[in-house]
Amino acid sequence: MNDTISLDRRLGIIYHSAVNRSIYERSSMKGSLYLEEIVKILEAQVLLDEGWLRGKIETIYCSDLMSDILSFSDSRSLLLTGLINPQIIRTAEMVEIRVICFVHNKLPHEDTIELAKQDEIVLLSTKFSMYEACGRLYIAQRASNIT
Amino acid sequence: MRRLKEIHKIQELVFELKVGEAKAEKVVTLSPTTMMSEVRAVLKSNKIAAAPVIEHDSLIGIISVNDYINWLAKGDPDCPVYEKMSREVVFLFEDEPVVDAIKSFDKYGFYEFPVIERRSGRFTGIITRRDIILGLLKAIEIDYSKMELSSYSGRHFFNETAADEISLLFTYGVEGRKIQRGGEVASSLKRNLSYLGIHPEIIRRVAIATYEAEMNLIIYGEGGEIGVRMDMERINITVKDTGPGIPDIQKALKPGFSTAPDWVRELGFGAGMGFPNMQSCADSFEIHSTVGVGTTLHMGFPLEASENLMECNP
Repeated sequence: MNDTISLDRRLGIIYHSAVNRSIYERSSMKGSLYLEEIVKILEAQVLLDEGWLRGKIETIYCSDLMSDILSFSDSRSLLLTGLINPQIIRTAEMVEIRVICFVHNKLPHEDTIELAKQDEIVLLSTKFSMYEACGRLYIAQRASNIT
Repeated sequence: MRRLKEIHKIQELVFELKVGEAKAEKVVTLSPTTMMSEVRAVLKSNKIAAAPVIEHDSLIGIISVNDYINWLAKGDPDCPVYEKMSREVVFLFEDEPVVDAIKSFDKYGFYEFPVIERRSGRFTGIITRRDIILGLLKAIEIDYSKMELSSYSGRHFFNETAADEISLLFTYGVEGRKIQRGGEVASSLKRNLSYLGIHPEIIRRVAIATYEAEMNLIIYGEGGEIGVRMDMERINITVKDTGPGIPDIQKALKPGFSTAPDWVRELGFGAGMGFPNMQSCADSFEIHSTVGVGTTLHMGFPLEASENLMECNP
């Protein structure tokens, strides 16, 4: 089990437990991007998408902690995560997250994909680390905010 | 499915919507003494193909582009429209359904029909194909907002059921340690509540709190039972287990406090935010626990979202 946890996930745990909640809230940003733009920016592989998503993604979050994801409140959002177990889909379902992107080339198991299909959640995978994926999206989102 | 419903709705609406409701009220009319030479300017500047001729609130005829062209072609001298207008006017009554208007458009090929009040015979407006489309769209919009308001209250279910007191009870069993099945209860409860037409924000809060409680049962409680009781006012959730119990409840409620084993943390759970999340989602929260006996949790939610509904966020 241990070898499936990458370094940036470990760092993620440290980061999240260390950072004060109010600062954490700011780790999401308003500014909308289309799914196609996000796929391009993250050079992502589309694992599952049956055209469920219309319009733009309003909010982007990153987290490897289920409880933090559960206290998000925007529904049209994208989640960047290193978690690939089926529970990530359950968690996303509760808060109506529409797109999940797995970082660091991680690929979820079949049952995770199957569950996402039932809940109509788009799945992506990017080769970038959590840090770089966030950085890329942050820049793009800010640019979309200005224009 | 949705599209089918919309088509049925429009089919119903063409019978329900009356000509009088869809007609345009501000219309350009001519008096019988208007001169033929003025007609062109009136039709052109208002972008219309015909104008009714009205005398004392009564429709006495209609003058169309056709009548104007005929007058020009014949080279007749200028005269009041009274002499050249069409006197046999096809009109519609205010209380006719728009489906009749649609049939008349097909039958006569006119661009517009004058609308008459049946009892008084008074001229009240004009109806075009555009007015019908706009009228239908508007009716659908009103219907949708009505439907949205009523379907989100959750009350309609209870209102349509006759009894002095009604409550719905859902019970779910949760197996301990089976983390891969975690979320099944919250997921099916979420679906049930949306079938019942509960407000999305309430569903969200119930789903999040139930999911956290369900994971607790799996991780710490060695399984247990989740009971959801819904009545006309509230949704009350009771979560019961016969697990190890919590030695210090105050400590367990603190954000960040966790006794989760590594295998749980590796899956992204066990950050010590479960109870705080439940507390922020529910508007009443109670916990009783005895070490070695078990833990019981009560959470309450309003059935209807209030205006200043807090988001499920601490």
